[in-house]
Amino acid sequence: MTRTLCLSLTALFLASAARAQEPVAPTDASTGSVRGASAGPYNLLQSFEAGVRFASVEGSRDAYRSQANYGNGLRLLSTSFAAFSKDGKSRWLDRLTINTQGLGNDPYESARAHVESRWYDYDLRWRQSDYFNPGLGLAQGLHALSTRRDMQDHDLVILPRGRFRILGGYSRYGQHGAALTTNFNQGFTGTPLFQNIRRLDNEYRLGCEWVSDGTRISVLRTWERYGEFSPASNIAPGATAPDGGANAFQSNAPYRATTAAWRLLAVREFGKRLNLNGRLAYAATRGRVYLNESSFGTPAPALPLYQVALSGNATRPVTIASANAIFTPVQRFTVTNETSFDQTRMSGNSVYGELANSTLSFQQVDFQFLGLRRAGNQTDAVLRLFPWLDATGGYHVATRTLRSVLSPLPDSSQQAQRDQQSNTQHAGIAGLRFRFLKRVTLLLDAGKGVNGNPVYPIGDKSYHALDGRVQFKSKTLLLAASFRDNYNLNQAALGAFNARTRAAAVEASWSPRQWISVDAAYAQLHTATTGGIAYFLNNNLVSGTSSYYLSNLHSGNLWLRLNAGRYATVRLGYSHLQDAGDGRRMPLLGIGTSSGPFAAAQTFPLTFASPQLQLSVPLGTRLRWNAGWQMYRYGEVLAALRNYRAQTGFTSVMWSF
Amino acid sequence: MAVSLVRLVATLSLLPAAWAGDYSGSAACRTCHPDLAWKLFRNPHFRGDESLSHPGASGCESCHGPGAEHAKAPSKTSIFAFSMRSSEEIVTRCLTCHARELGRMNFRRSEHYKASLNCTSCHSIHRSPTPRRLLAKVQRELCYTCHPSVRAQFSMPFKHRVNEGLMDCSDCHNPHGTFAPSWKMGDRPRMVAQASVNEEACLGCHKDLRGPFVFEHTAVRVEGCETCHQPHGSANPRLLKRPVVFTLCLECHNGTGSGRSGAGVPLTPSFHNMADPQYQNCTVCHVRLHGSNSSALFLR
Repeated sequence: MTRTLCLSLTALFLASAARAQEPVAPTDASTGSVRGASAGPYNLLQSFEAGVRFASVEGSRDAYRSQANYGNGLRLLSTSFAAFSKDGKSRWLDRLTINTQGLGNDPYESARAHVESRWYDYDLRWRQSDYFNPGLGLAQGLHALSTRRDMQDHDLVILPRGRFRILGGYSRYGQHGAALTTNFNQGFTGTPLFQNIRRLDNEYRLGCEWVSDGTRISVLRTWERYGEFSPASNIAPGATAPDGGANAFQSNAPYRATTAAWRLLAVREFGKRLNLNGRLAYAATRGRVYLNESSFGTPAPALPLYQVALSGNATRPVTIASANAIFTPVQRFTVTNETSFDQTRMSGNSVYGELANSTLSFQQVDFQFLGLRRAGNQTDAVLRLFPWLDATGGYHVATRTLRSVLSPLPDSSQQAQRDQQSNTQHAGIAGLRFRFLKRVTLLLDAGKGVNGNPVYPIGDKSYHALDGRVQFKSKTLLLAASFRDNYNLNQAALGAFNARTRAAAVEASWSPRQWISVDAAYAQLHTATTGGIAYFLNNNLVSGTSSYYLSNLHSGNLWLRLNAGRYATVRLGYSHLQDAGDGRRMPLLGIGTSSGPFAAAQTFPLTFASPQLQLSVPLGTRLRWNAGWQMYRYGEVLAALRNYRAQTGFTSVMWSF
Repeated sequence: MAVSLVRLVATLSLLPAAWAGDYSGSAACRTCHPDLAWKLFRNPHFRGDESLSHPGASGCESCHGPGAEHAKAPSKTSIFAFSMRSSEEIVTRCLTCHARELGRMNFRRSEHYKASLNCTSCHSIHRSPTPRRLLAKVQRELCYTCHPSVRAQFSMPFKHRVNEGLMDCSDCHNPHGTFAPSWKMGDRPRMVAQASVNEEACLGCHKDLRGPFVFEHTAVRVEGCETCHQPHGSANPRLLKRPVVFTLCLECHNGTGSGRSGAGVPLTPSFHNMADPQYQNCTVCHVRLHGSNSSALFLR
């Protein structure tokens, strides 16, 4: 029993260090014997946690749903089941593991399963997520979403231990639910529309793999079908017409895309000194779209005020090739080189037609072409100079060409505009790693890059990154501090974009005894950007001004875990996030005012805190009772629209049999 | 049956002679290490047929090396003890088998290798709490140990659901090293796995944004999603980099930079009066900002 308890405690401590802002349930406790139970040739391990969640929200329930979203009700909070063949010689099943979380209407549900034997290896992953976004901060709340995403991936390997393996797989992605969108056509400026989102993607994979001494070649063929049918309508025939008498609007735009791809990966080892590997892939995607959009006016029965019908297709062939050489002439020196090339072309055609009340017009729109071609080479080296000192360095170069064809508008007599833009990047990295007294590690890294002609004014142009980390680690104590600085200066013709982000963090994890562990972490994320902007104000061009953005995020986590062995386990946690912004407590006026240099500044002070308490009591060797409380408190300083305070909690039993 | 008998006789008669000098066999290890041996069958490294193959190819000595000397004089220096070895030696030992795996073949190119991490920095071969992949901790906690600022990002009000257990870091990243990214200019980000053939990891789940679209928003395709979004977490809705949309858009659409034509990213038209709240919410009208099949201005 003592041994069993010790092993359980070890597992708990391994899982308890340096936590983040986690939900209070499910628990990470375990029950039952770590040795499991025997069932014939198998060893079984299992535990199930079922319980009730509760949640009470004051303030913006919409904001809570978009950020945490835990509700009330019965849940199978977690499941863990494993069966292992004790001699590894079972004919059909050597290993089976199943893990689930949140089944029974939690907003984040997932399941994983793995089955293997000498004949096959099968992986399943299923996830379902409720994605609710009130869209309050953007587009005036007109783009709210209440959808559910579900994803599943199946992977099968036949003869996984053989020299020739057959690979198969299937993935499915779906999103469905209600949403709001807006329309900007024919007098419907900013009109809210109800949308029924339905998206589905199916991917099938089939391939083979050949393995021999030092060589592996994998060929995979995939077929993917994506479909979207998300009709939108204002379904308000009695509403006051916003413009031109139109008062009812509907839009259907079914879209289908298929992708067929080949992927070839190969790796060849020449002893322990040289590893050559590479990939070659080609994917051809073809999209097909139809659109039917119409508005109807009053008095009924009215003819359509306008109708737009569109059909078109787009193709996107993609080719990508990479080759790697990893050379280790002596164990303490490694030099690697990657040469890569990829090309993406988007081309096709589109037909645009518009039908008015009495006039039929038909116009052709040439497709807008976008072509990308990139080639790069990266060489890096790692040298273990001394047992206490490593050095790294590297040089990366890449060149990219972007070609585009802009189509003329339907009612324009202009010719298509053809453009080409090229950019070359040179970047270098260097780093040092020191180890002192076996327990102290110091890492220093620096990177510098220059782009000759970036596409965008906010893109990387002259940038550098500095990293540092120092760590002390012993069996019971971890102390670490890290620092990262990113800086980018993009000096454009009419303005400059200047961005600096700094992240500094310290953390400590202390487990002096088996019954107590403490974890604490603090991080500061500082972002300051200045970007030249230009815009129109009452038809007057305003240029030479800047947009400032300032964010000072302070994040802290504190965890205390007390384990009274057979009596109880208590976990206390507190997570706090605060954006101090530039320190202001009152919003300043924005664009169009003369309120000084911060006229267009964006600062967004907020607080997001979450204390929690969890109690877990063993009721015998195979049963535990758990309970927990967690509060979420979200508050914005400058706009209280989304503020809320939520009390959540759960009680559950965990058992194994 | 006959074949099996012949194989067994051959194994029993030939292999012990071959082992005699160096190897002791896993059975000898179990004598002194019962705490590790009793659950070895749960380990993915366990192969049930180890008794019929050379111990250097399976069993304890396939990783720890010949153990005959260690059996005679137990000490950490008489066998390949991972806790006593250098980072490079550990990597070399593990890559003996794993270097040919397609997801791990570029480990020596990875940032983790450059940071002198080795396999046992993240994996616990004998005492892993995770049933697969033998991780030393739950994956997110393992990553947060060295990336505390990422922990802070996932504690933001708007974030991908990693702490909630819906996603793992490895859904987007390959900690064992990747090919150079095919978006941006390929220098960074350095540990992000690619979805499909050459796409950014985001599009592996956000399929509706993949296109191809008749009208592409070039920024998405050329510079990637992180041009406008903070993928780990953000204080702003929809993981945007800015709390207000129009400044995010205007930082590019200001007539400067190169743009597709070399003449700058297009400025907003003059009727976009920024004093009017309607024009401060760009996405109210430009609904299909990631790409549209029917509007060059992403209006529908």
